[in-house]
Amino acid sequence: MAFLARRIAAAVVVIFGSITMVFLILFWLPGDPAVLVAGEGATAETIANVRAHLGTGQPLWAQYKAYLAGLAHGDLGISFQTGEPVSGRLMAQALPTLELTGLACGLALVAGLLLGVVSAVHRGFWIDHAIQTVLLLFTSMPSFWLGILLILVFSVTLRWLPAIGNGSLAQLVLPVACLGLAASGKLARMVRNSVLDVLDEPFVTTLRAKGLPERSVLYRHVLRSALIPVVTLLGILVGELLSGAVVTETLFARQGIGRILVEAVGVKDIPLVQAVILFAAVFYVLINLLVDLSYALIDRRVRA
Amino acid sequence: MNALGGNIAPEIADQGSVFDELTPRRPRRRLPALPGLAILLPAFVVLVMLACAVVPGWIAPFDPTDMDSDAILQAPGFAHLLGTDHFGRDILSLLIFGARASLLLGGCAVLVGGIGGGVIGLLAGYAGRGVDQLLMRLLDVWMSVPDILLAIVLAAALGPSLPHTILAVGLVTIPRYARVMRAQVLATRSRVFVHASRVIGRSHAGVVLHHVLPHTFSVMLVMVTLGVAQSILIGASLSFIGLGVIDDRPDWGFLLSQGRSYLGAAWWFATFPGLAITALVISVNLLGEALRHRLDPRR
Repeated sequence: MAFLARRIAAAVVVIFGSITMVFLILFWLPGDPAVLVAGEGATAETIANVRAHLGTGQPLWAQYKAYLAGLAHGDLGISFQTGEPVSGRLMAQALPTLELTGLACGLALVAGLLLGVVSAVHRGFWIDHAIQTVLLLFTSMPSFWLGILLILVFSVTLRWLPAIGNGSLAQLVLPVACLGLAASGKLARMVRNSVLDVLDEPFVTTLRAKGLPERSVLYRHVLRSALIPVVTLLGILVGELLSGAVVTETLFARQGIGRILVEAVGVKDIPLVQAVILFAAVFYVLINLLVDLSYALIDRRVRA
Repeated sequence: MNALGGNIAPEIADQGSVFDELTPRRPRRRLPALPGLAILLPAFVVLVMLACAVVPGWIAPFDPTDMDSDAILQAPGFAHLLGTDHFGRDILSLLIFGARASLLLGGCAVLVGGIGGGVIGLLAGYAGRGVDQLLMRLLDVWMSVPDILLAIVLAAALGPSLPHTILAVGLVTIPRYARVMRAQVLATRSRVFVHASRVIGRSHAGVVLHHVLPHTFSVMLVMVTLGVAQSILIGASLSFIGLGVIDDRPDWGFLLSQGRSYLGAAWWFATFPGLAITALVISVNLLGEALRHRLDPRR
């Protein structure tokens, strides 16, 4: 229970820290948002009015306090560009991103576990080398280039799948493949290392010596211990997927928080940028908290 | 003496020289094999790209700014080996001139991240529990925003130019170096010879300089090499989104994003810049892995 409380407190501190950090970075964003919002040819008076309205003329500390006060009420701020609450836009855009990253996470897990375990079990054989080569490719190519190759093959040449947009299931296939496969590379390499580590443990030799068939040594004992450290990778995976989603959404012209982040940064819509980053940070910290807690459940040594 | 002991000394010893007395007989170790294709090929790729970065003008067949209006979006052929873009520029030449931006970005971003992370990791690992706790919490905050999202915000805040992109990528990658450095420092700090060195009166600065830092060197060298690859990838993503280097100099990520609009008409336009990035990143990764094998025989 003390462990639980400590972890949750740490997570809250980190989220508070990231709110502050992003606020400070955005405060230094060059250019006056008021000038952009007022539009071309606006008089100095209009700009001053807009600035007063947006509250960007106030000192840093006052803005920070106002922002925190808003957050405490669940108010993420008003978009500089549309004048509407940011939260509505964020909710609408979060769904496609979660859909994309969720499915990609599933694909990365299946592909990563499968490739990692197969390659570890057949260490040194041709299939291990083949898998290693593919994984090296996945970790080394930019995910957007993988996506472009997928579009070239499946949309342009074969005409099987649509390349852009979102809505239908078919439009999800290529983005999910692009994001999931790119993320599976690192995962598979770690699974392989983990399985190899366990295979070297003395208890495996004991199991083999007592005559247990290799199949059950592997599936009942080795995989069970090898997959424990892999749970922590889920946390890392989420960060990678969120990062990749920004690029993937841009490439496949999909709706999502990555796309609005890029747009919002372009027009200096600070509340929107802040909301997107906050969403990503909270999501990331929460998933990692869950991973930590589940890890403590699986492996009791952690709960010291 | 040790360096001779393995390979050379036994042969000399066979002839009954003075080394016979000095070196203990050891089983003859196999001569180190010639570096395999797995090292030669990536080293070659990196060298070629370095050459492109340093003297692109000597290598490129065309001026990358040369727009040939008669050869717009031309497929790869004898005139233009990798085809032309929507302005009729030669893609091969654009790639050769673009190597500089990618390598500068990879190299300099690693310096920013490696030095920043190294210092933070050293402080956290050596300066005691309080400093450690504080720095690690700050790193947690830093890492709570995923890589590219943070890089986007930083790049936007700093403004688009190569030095700013380098700074953004470097800052984003600080935590990964810091964590490895900290772990390494913590492991070294508690070793007996470090205590002994303190006991005989060496200062903290002396201990860090003579004992702790040398023990972090090999691990950090591997991290930094692999970091070049990661930095190039993050930088390419920024360029692809349109937040990277947007001035006149050719850039692989930006070329790729332009080529994206012509996927149906000109497959070569986006394919080759991506291939260039991938070839460079794979090569650097392979070299990093080879280095790791050399320096850390346990794995």
